Order: sequence, then C-alpha cells, then structure tokens
Amino acid sequence: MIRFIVRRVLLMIPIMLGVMIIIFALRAVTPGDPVDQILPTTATEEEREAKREELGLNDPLPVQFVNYVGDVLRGDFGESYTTHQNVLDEILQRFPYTLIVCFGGVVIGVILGVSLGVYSALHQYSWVDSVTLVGSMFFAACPGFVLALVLISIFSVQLHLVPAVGLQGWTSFILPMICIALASLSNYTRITRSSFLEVIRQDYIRTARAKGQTENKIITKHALRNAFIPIASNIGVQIGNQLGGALIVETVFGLPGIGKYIGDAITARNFPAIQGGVLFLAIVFTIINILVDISFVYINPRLRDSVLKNSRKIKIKQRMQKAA
Amino acid sequence: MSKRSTPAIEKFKKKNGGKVIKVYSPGKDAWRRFTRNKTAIIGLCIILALVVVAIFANALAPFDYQHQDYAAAYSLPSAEHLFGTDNYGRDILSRIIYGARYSLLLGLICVICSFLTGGMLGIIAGYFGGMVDEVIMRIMDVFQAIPQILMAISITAALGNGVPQMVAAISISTLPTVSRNCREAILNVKNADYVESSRAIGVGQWKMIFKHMIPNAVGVMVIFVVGLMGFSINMMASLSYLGVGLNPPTPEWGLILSEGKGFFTAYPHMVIFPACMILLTILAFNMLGDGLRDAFDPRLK
Repeated sequence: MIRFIVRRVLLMIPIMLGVMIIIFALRAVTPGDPVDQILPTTATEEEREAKREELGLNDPLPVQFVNYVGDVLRGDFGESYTTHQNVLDEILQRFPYTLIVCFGGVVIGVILGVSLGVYSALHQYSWVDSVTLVGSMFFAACPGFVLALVLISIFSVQLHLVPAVGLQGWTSFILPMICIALASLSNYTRITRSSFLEVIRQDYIRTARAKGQTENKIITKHALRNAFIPIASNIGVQIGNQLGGALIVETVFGLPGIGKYIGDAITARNFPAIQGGVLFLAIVFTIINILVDISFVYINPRLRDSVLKNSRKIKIKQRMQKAA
Repeated sequence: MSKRSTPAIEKFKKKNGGKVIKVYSPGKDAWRRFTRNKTAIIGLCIILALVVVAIFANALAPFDYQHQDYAAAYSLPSAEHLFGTDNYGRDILSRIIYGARYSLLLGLICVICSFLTGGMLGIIAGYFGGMVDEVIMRIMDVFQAIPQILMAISITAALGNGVPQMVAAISISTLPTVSRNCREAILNVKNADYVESSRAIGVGQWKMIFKHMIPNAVGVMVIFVVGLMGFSINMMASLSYLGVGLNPPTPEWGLILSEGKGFFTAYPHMVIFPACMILLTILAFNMLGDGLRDAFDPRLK
C-alpha cells in the first residue's frame, strides 16, 4: 500500500514539470515586456536594463526555465504587477475561501445527486424520475455564470435572503456552494441512476431479497456500495471542473477566493498572477486526484486486491508458498 | 424486401412459420431508433432552426447589430424592439440573431480543430499502441492536470482576445478529453475480428485506419462531436463573459450578456435573453447527443 502511494506521488513530479513547461511557454509567448509593467513609466533605460538583468530576462530560454522551476520550488511564483507582492502569498491568503466553496459544493452535489439518482432508479419512469432527468439535462446545459446570475436575481435581489456579492458572513457562501453543486449535480444523478439500475438487477440483490433482508438494508448495504464505484471515479474528474467553475462563480459572487484573484488578474492583464494562480490550482487538482486514487483502493475491493497483490509482502509470501 | 433467397433465409422462413421479419442494417436501425427518440428530434429541430437563423441573419434581424440609437437606449421589450435595447440603444434581438452565426460557426471550427489535433493524436496513439501510445498519453496527462477552463483562460490571457486565439484556447483545452475518447473508440474497433481479417489479407496501414477503423468508430465519435459542440459554445460564452473571449462590439452571446451584466438589476432583459439563447443552444446539442447515444449504443436496444 505504501509503495502504491509513493509511486503515485512520484508520478506527480513529471506531470508537475510538464505543467510548468506549459505555463512557462505561455509566459514566453505573452506579448509585452514585463519590465514595462513592473517599473513606473518614468524609469530610465539603465534602470529597465538592470531590472531585466535582475529578473533574468536576458538569459536563454532553457536557463530561464530552470530558474523558473527553482523559483517555484522555493515558493516564488513571481511578483504581482498590481500589488508588487509575491503571488503565492496572495494566493495562500485566498485559498481557504476557494476550498470552502468547492468542498461545500462537492459535498452538496454528491449528497443531492446520489440521493436523487437512487430515488429515480428505484422509481424508474415515475414523475420524480422524469423531473430529475429533465432537470439534470437543464443544469448540465446551463453555463456557470448564467446559473449564478439567476440565483442572485432570485435569492438576493427578489427575496433578500442572502447577500448578493462580496463577503458578508457565512451566508455569502451559500449561493456559490449551491451554484457549484448544481453544475455537477446532473453528472452525479445520471451516473448514480444508471449504475444503480445496473446493480439492482444483479443476482446478489435477488439473493439478499430472498433471504429476507429489509429493503432499506438492501439499498444502503448491498446496492449503494457496489453502485458507488463509478460515482467515486467521477468525483475526481468533477473536482477539476469545479475548481475551474469556482473561478466563474467567485467572479460573479465577488468572493475573495483564487478564482476571483485570477478573474481580477485577467482584467488587469496581471500575467504573473494568472499563471501563478493556474499553476497553484493545477497542483491542488493533482494532489486531490492522488487522494481520490488512494481512497479508491479502499472503496473498491477488487482494486485493493490488485494493489496488494503487487505489494512486496504478498509476493514474498507467494514465493515462500511456491518454495514450500 | 428484396426477392433474393438463400438457404439461410429459407431456413429462417421455415422456422418462423413462413413469415419474413424485417431486418435492419445497423445504420438503418440506429436511424429508426433515433427518429423515435423525442428529445433527440426536438434537439435536432432547435439546432436546424438556429442554423437557419444564422444563415439568414441579414434578412431576419430588424436592425443592424451595430446600429446605435441613443434615444431608444435602455428600452424594455416592446413591439419595436422585441427583446429591448442595451445601454447604447442597440437592438438586442438583432444582436442575438447575428450572434447565432458566431456561436454556431465558431463552435464548429473549434470542434474541427480539436479533432484535427486531439482526435488525430488519440487515433495515432490508439492505433500504434506501445511506445507511441505511452508518450502521447503521458503528455495528455500533463494537459489534463490543468482544469479545462483554466487552461483556456491562461491561453487567451497570454495570446489576447480574438477569434483565432479563442479557437486555439478551446482546442488545446479539450485536447486531453478528445484524444482520450478517440483513442478509446479506436481501441474498441482495433481488436475487432474484421480488422484482424483485413490485416490477414494484407490491407495497408493507412487504408486500414481510414477505410475500416474510422467508419466503424464513427458512431461513438459523432456522439462525442455533438457533446463537444455544446461544450465549446459553453466555453466560448464563459470566456467572453470573463473578458478573454472576443472583443466588443462582436455580437457573441457571452459578450452581450457580459456587457449587460452591469445593468442586470434594473434592466434584466439585457441578460435574460442572451442567457436563454446560450442555454437553449447547449441544451439542444446535449439533447441531440443523448439521443444519438441511445440510438448508436447497441447495449441500449
């Protein structure tokens, strides 16, 4: 198991290097001289040349890339054009908001999506099933910013239940969370429904019924556990969409998270902030995917066996058995 | 039904009491099931209507999309301006009608570009396998580590606003999903018996790909293309909304919405109509995609 985790973490290194190459390439094709953005317009040519030398912009590209990787490893994501502070510090200050919104959105989305999916699978072709199906189609088609604007107009402007924009206490998080949850809801509902429909036709469900197991236990203990594997594998993919979706949701709701940070940076053409933010979210996304992969091994017994089969202890055991 | 008769058909007739039952070819069968699917037909009709609107935008739009009438600025929906006007007094209906061109055409271009890049990579990876597959898919892993919309934003932020930049951003951000899907589609047909037998009779490599494998993988790909179209339109609108898509005064739906969002509370019509159009278009493509999937997927017969 530890070997599996270590291998999974080590695999992250080339992926992160690749991501850095992409972002570095984008930095290289970005038009305009960064020095113009950092220094005031009154700066002399000597000052500009000195700054260029200081930033290493005169070095050949490979050298610049190595320096860039070194900087990132040291936690230096570059200097924001607007605030002249380290981008990473600014990002870390804002990260908790994004984390709360995304995490809340995922939890609400999974709970709501799975329960709706299970209900519509158990009552196939009922009115709840059709409403869920149409609703999930509707929300899947709805771009995040449209959904956010509709929610604001209903719950903030018309009903005055929650603040519309900005951070005013915990109620400000409700709508963004719902927005993120609704965006992924259709995905969870559909997958749960189809995988549940498949599972409840299996023999072991009939066996459980035959032995007189209560319907509730059949659903929660036998069916849901088996139906959950495709759902769990989808959560990892969805989290990526949600981290991206957080960008739009935070921009619309004016929540001071990383999404809003990147959104503001786009308007201000603040490239180090955009690229630093994207790099940070890519790192977070990769780490989350590793965690999802590891938790998978616990959820899915078949995978657990295959991981353990490759583990050293079992191999030694097998070898000893063969020898005996 | 044809009059031809073979021993097999005779035997079949005898078995079924002399009755001949209709047998459909896979393509015909898929078409039959597709036309029976109500959601798919509705989706297709909406898309066709949008295409007609886009083609005849000049004739249909009551005003020019750039025509500014300051006297009529901020007017609510009325008989003259069905969808109202915006802060410059431009007719929103006309802008939306012209916007259909941008959304559909650019969506199509994005899909084509994604397929020429990601699709080809996926097909090559799936067909050749081994080292080629490994290298391509590991590169795709890297692209996948950056969430799609973030990828698109960082590309357009670096390259600037405009049509080619946006097409590049969307094609690159969809690279990993497109290549993965195409690879899977090819892997599914690669191991089929008819491919093995064509190889046995000495069909060349490229002929194999284009004559035998792609036509058989086309069903899966069509479904995916339709889904990708909806996704591209969504992404374009999102990019324009964030200010990294097209430049004003292009009548792109996301841009119309973005320009109207400041007046949302006082003049909701500036946001509601473009939002509805975006939603309707994506919904239509998703409905069509779902219908096609039901029609092509043999498991759902």
